[in-house]
Amino acid sequence: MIRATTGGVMRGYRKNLMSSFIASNKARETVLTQRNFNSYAEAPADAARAFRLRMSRLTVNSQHKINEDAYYKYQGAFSCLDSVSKLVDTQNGGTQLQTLKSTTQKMLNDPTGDARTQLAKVLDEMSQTIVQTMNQKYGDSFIFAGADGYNVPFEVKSENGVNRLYYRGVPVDAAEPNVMKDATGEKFVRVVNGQVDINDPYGDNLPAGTPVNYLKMDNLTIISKDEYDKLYAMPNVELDANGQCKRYSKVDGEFQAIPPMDPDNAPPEDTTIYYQRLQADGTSFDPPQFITTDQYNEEVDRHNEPAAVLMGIDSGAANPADPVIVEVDKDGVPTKNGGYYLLVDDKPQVISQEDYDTAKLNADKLDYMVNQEKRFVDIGLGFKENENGNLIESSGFNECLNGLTFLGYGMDEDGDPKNMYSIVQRLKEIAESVPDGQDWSDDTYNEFFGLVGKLEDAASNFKTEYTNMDAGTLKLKNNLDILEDSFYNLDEQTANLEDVNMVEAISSFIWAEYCYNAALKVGNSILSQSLMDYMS
Amino acid sequence: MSTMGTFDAFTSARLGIYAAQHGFRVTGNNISNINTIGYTRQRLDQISFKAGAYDRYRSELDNHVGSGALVMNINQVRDPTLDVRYRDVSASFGFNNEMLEGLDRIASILDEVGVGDDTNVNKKGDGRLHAQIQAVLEAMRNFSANPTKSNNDLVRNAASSLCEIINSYARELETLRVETEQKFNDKVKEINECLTNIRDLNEEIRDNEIFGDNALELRDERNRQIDKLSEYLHISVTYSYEDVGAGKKVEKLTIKLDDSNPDSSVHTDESVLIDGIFGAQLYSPKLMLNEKFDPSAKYDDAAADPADNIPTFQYLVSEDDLPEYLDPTTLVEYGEIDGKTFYCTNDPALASKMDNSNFDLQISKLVDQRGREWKDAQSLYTPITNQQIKDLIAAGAPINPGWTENNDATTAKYSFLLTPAAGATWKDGDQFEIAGTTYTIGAGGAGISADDANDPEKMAAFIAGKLTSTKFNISAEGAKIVYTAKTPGAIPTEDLPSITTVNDPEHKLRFGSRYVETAGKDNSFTPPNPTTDVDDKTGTETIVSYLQVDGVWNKVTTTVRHTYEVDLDDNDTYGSLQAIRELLTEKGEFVTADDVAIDEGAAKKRGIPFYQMSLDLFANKLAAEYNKLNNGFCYNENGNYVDADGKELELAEPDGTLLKVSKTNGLTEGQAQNLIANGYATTDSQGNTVPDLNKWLTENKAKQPEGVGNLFSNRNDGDKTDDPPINASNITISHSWAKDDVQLIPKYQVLWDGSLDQSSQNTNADHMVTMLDKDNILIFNPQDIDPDAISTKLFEGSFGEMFNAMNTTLGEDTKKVTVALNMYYTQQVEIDTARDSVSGVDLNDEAMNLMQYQKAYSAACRLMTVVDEALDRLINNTGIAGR
Repeated sequence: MIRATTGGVMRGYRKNLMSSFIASNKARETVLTQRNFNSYAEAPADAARAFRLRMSRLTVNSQHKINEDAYYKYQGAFSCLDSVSKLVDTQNGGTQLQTLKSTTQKMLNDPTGDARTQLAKVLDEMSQTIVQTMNQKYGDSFIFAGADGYNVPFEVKSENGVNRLYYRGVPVDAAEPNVMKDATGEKFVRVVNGQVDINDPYGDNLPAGTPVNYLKMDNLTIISKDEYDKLYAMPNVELDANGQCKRYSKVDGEFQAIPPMDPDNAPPEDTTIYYQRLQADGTSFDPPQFITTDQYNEEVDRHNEPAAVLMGIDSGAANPADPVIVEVDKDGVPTKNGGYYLLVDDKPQVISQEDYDTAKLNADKLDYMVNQEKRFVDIGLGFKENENGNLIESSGFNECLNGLTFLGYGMDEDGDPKNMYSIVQRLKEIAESVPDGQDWSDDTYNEFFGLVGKLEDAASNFKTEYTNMDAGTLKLKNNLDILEDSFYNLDEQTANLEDVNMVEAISSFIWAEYCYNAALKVGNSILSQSLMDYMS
Repeated sequence: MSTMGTFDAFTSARLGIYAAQHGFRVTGNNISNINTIGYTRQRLDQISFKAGAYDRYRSELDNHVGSGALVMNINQVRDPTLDVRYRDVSASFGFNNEMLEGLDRIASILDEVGVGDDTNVNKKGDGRLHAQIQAVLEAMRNFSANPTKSNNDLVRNAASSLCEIINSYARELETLRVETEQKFNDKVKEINECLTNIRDLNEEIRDNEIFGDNALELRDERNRQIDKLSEYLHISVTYSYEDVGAGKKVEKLTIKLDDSNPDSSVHTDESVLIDGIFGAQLYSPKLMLNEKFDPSAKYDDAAADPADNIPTFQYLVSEDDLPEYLDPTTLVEYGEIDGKTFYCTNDPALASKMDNSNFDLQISKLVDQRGREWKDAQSLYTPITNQQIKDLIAAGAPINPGWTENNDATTAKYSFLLTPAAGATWKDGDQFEIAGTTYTIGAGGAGISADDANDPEKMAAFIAGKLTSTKFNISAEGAKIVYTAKTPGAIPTEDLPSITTVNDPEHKLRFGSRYVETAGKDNSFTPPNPTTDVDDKTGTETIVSYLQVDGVWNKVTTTVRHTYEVDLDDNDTYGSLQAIRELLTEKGEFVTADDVAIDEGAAKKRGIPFYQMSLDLFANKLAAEYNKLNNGFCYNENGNYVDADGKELELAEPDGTLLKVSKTNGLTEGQAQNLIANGYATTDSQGNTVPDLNKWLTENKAKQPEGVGNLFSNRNDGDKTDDPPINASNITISHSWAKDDVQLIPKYQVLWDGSLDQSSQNTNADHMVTMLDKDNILIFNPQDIDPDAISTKLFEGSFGEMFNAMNTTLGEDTKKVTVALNMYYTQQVEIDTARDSVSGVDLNDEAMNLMQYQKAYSAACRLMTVVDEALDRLINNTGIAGR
């Protein structure tokens, strides 16, 4: 610069004074707001990150609340299940009448039945207590109601004097009836007038309006024709000269023929008599086969009174009304000359379509509720959806607690209930069916005994699920801790990013103020003197 | 001894006093104006005065002494280079300053840093919109955990607040846009005022200069105006001289736009704004449609009330947008709209500016103070020979009506008069030479007798008979030798005849100079009529005519340039005005092909529209996604969509196989193809054609649960989402949601036709949560706001992150502009200070000048006293010896 003019000096001063003032003001703002930046423009990347952290922190906070809620719900559930557990405790059997185990043991050990009715009542009360416990609420919703938290899950209805347990309106003992179907499982074998038409087993040609009934498979057993023939054939044994069955005894592991009708050489009375089984052509097997006389008699009896096979009609035959055997294939699908028969225990059982559909529907519902129904909450596991808009299950926590998971549902292969309450009720019914003071009949006792065993199985399942739920509670507890850590971590990160270092901020502020004051002082002397002032 | 006037020394003293006095005045003026903005330091231009020339009888011993000092001029001390640099930087400063102000205003609306409460610590910073998104999310999570009516209400309240915040941001942005538009109009007015001032100052300065005044104060004012203009527009300023006649030349100032457009093929960015006493104006007219326009109406010149003719006009223009060339007194006045007077117009130039959403600028014609348009004519003369003309004619006279040849040629005839010298006489035996042959007088044969030779006529006839020429016939007429051209036409100089005699010392055979009896002339031509070609855009006339100058035809091409209106390209200007334009128009990722055609870099520039459209997209997406989630269809326990009777819906594959429509597994590939093929297609956020399953489900009467419906609408007295589409300014919770006819749908699965209740199921509520949650990936497609937008993705992420990204973009832009502004501001101050170091007044300098002129004044006065005393001695006290 060749010349420093008055105006130029003033302009430079004004600019620098303004810069100094701006710096001072910025430093003051930093101290007052205690923030490193006060707009995106000051630090775009930091501001964006800070908001992301804040969003994450708020999300974690929200997830923490939900996790906490789920945790308390699980704790409530845990408490309920603990109570139930004490009632079904199998380890504490035989002492006091405090558990199902001890009570049933008491009943089994009370053949005279003096306290049977009383004990049955105890069982009943215990089962009612279990139901009531499983109807507990957490907050506004029922803990064990699955995804229907606002409706009471378990309900006991008395039907013909018998207590039936319902879960969300579905009988807990519902099971899909085992009926005869085609290979695809979609077509049902129709029963008309108690009989199956082997020419039209699925009723395709039946006139509309014909009542629809299905054949239940519960008391039917599939048996091959060969096996049947073999099972019910007259035993072919070696005959002696008199046309009597030739007798053998077993001496030192060897079969020895007993001479016919020789009193002197008659074997001892307790000797087991054997007959030699022959092949169809009358020759011996190699090695020879022997059967006892009891076995022989049994086979003869069977031959004389063969088991009933399922009979039907053949609308395609010359005499459609004539009974014919209903042949099936090895899987039980009606097939002409299928090579298999269906043995009938007692008499064929039929179920109407309506009853079947109801039972099937209820069974499906139970299966759905227990195995498919889920209710996910976001506890910070990712909570993401797949391309179809369905939640990726591993990213949420399924907080759905279904009472049936613990108490059991449906029927077993014996047709007995698997639900703990139902088993107890059945036990009660059996117990009440025998008047006090009378001994158990064998059948009653066996049934009672068998059910007690199933009750133990149900209790064992309960324990397993109870333990599983405990693992879920632990997961929630651990996650709660993780979320808490995460929250404080995010909080700290936000603070590190946004919050100013006060020592540095105050130092900067004081320095900026000092500079500004100095600038003001300089300004005071800028126009103080010029040559004009020295002219005389 | 040199000659000198008796009172010569007085002159020196007087001029010294004058000069010193001028010096006082200039110094005083400088000191007075020390605080005048734009004042340029003045300086006295003083020369040494020397009276007269050298004396006629000047002695070599003479020594010339000067006659004192003359004040030639008072000049300004100014460095034009610094002016150029200052104005360059000034445009950049103006641009960035205005841009930063605009971005700061946007940031004051959208930037939520340090705004809002913090949920956990007693410190601000969660933002408003950010925090409200989180509030909605939390309410959603609660609803998802417990899908109850009360939680539905909580979500609704939070969503309503979110809408209000979005509305308020949109409202504030719109207010900012309107204010910025007003600012743009004000800025254009300021620029026009500046241009008018400069033009008028030019005329004043010009007039002053003609009369010999430098008009320094006017120049200062003009410089101040130019400096001001340079902040608005990037300009180049040039000075030249124009001839004002009588050999007088005065300075002419020209201001042009300074080539700001990066596209080198564009030249409108060099348009002239000021050319001497002519100046242009800037316009960015916006017309309104005249609602009273009736195409069948006819203008009636004799209408008693001008308003009767209003229906004949298609457009209305406000008084602010009225170009200077349209005189409002000649227009039909429409009346007032929003406090502004509007005029009717069908002006085609204005009509092209209808819906000027790009705020395109137009430069008007250059006119002077009196409204006279600038015009410039220049002619170029190109000689054209007869042969060229003949060639043209032979070629078919391409110029319509073409050249015509007039058969009026004349034959050249020249003569040489035989004029022997007086007393010179031929005698027998004398010899002479003609055309290389020597003849002897009186020799007989082919010769000539002395008597005949002494008769000029006979001698001429004799000589003519001996001369030959390829181009002329030679004969004698009396004593003249006559050359008559064999063919008509002009004779080239080199072919002109001449007679040369040799060995004729007595001048017996002397000829006079060549006399033109008849000038040979070629055929004359009649030129074609002049043609005029007018450039449609510039109005420049090119007139071609033919003019004979000195017998030679010239093609005269006259170019008459007129002033014309220039439509500026999008990037032709730079400076604060352009910054406001960009704030008003730039849409960033929302640009269309049309926008890019106007400005290749449009996609990188973001103004208020970008943030408005981003917020619109945010609101539109929010509403669309949630409305979609709340307008779903029921599916059963198998995951298949069902109708009202619970029957599973089936959709065919291309081969006709009917398959269930699965919600859980989605459509099969074949089903998707089938839907698209049958017109059930839509486009996804990436612009891909995808099946429109919802449309198909609606048409096939898929079951919907009670309470479905739109959660958000474009006005709170209905549930509509279109006409207009939902945007940031109109988004609201729907009327039905507000009055509980619509509820948040927590789930769509209906188990066994509703026979199995799931009162707390939440699968759809989960979707709603993930929709807002940070892990959810949404694609924000600009085409959802403007279908013509080029880009299909503005941002990919959650709603919260989208808003964060908007602010980050704003922050980055602001930071970039702030850095640039600081740089240009520092440069501007530095250059201004440097300029001040040259042109500014400094008190020390002026104090020195004061002392200097004071001393000079005193010295001149002293000189006068000395001379006075000396003359007094000479006059009164000399030659009195002996008295």
